[in-house]
Amino acid sequence: MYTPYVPRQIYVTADAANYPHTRAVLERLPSLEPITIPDITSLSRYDSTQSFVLARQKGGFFKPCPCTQKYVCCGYKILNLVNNCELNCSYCVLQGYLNNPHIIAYVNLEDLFDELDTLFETYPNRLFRIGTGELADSLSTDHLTGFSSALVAYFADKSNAIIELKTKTSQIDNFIGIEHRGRTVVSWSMNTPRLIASDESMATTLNERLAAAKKCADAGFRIGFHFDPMIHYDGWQDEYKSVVDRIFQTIPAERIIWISLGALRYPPHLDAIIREQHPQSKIVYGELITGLDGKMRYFKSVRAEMFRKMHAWIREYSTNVFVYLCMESAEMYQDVFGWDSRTTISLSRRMNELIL
Amino acid sequence: MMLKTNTVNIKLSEVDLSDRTYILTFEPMMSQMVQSIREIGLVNPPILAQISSEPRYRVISGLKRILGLIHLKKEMFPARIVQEQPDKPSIEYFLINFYENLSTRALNDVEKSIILNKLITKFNVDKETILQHYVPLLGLGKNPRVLDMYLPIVRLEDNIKIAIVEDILSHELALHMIELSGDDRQSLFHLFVTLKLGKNRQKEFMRLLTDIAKSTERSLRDVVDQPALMAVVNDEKITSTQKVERVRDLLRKMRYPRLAEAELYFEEVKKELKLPPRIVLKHSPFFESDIYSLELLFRDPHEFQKMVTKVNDISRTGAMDKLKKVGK
Ligand code: SF4
Repeated sequence: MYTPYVPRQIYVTADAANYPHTRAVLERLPSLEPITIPDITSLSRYDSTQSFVLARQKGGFFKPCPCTQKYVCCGYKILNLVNNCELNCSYCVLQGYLNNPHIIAYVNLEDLFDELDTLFETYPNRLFRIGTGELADSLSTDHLTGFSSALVAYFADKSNAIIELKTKTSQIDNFIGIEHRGRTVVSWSMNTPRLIASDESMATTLNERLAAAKKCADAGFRIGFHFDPMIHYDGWQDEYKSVVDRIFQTIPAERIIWISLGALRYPPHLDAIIREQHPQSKIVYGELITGLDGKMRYFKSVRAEMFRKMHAWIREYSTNVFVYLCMESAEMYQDVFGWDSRTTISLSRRMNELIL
Repeated sequence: MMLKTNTVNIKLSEVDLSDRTYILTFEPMMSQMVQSIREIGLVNPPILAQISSEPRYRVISGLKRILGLIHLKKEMFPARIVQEQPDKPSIEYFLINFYENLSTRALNDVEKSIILNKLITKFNVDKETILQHYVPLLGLGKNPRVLDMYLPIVRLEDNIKIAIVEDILSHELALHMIELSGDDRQSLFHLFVTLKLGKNRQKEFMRLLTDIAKSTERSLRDVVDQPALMAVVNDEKITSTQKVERVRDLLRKMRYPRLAEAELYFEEVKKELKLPPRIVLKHSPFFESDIYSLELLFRDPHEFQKMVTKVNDISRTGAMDKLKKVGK
């Protein structure tokens, strides 16, 4: 069952102490006595449980999405606002990626917006699709940070950029009433109720995700859905189809900007972590091979079948909704959508057209 | 510690060999001991604790010597006797045996496990002392994870412990086997022994078998005992190496059915193409890419020309078209 994250301890790095967002977070957590630390490198000396850390982002916030080598890239960009996540999904790559257990929120949003202003002004003819859900769930700590409202308000008047808030939570209250002018996409990672129960058990249920998506759609936001990671198991067809049915029964197709499909994949070292940390999970027993990028992924025909069927089920409801694959080869695009390689290379351009 | 003992002659039948309170030896190697007692007699009398007013003794040290005497059908032997409350085992007596063994021979992994378990459960030594003092004495460093690696070993059945001591089974794999049910563990172990698998193969087979069992919701024993696999294991017409390869193939087919099917189909296409040995057709790893490669091995331009002609001929047969279907 989903309960929003309540930290047991909060740390503030010395250089983050005076930011408005730091003060706002501390006001939301009156019962916690913040501990000041020199910087985030000193964290592991203090405790090993998942504490909340307010810090200043010293490097840039903005990065290209670390697309996997040898597969088609959609040209997404990411903002590194929060690192780490408490939802503990079995397949989460952060488990083997980040070197400390804490959730770090970077509070110097003023610097973020300066960085983005410069970027958008330098490249006025480029379109930027930007997300915050790469090293964290975009909204799982929003009840503490309130970052979503600042982001939605900032992007509302940008002509060449949109922000995507990607989540498995129902934390939409901070931004739902904010003027967004269509520059914010709110997205949900989707899975079947069975998979949510076994592998995403600390996140919201399917019903809760759909209810939150409906509220956002009603408030005029464009909605994205990411079936990622799709898991192959006995009975997947009926169960994934029924999730597609539920989406289109709940959200008007014209409010859905995109649906992505991505099959389970993870770096090989995560295999042992999943087996040890998530013994209830069966995802490691799929027919996983080593892909061209060295990641474990389903054998090609398994992926192709999943994508083709999902695509067909989506098309039963809408011929317009943009469907794309996450981290797949041009051959797979051809196999699933019949796209030739030129169309596939221009995936990024096609997605940009959606946001004009 | 100075031990006050009386040396007396006692009957072998008065020693309670089932009482293992102070015993840390696992699977003593008896032949050398028997030989030594036969040649020069019992030089160093065992130390025993008298645990009741009746003549009944618990072995503190010298179990191997006593077993040697039994083997040689002796009835009486000299022993050093200490007194002890039966329900109050003394850590000092345990440590006598411990240090005596430590100074005279290398302890095996099962014995290290026995020692650590006894220190914790029987003699209530706290874990910090064990980590700081005893674990380094056992040659295991000071890492706290050592306890997780050694404590469980005593829970294994004796045949598996012997395999660890004899280095037939790796310690690491034995630890994984603890998580299995007794039935599953024994089936797996039996398969390892029957196929005489080396440690790397054991690891590979265990991973394949447990994954197949979990993904098909069967017990590991059911997977091992399935007729197709047993037929290979019991086939007397093939060599051990062939058995291992065939069982491995079978398991891989079960674990990766689509990959196995693709590999088979690819081999069929290759056969149909009738490639000479010096023209080698290869697919991408796991068929992940649709790109194939063709390697031509030649010595001179003439041979090269012949091969190019051959490749041309093959490309006209249409058999190459079948490659499009591999892995689809
Ligand atoms: S919600 Fe995303 S970031 Fe959080 S644990 Fe799950 S996969 Fe990881």
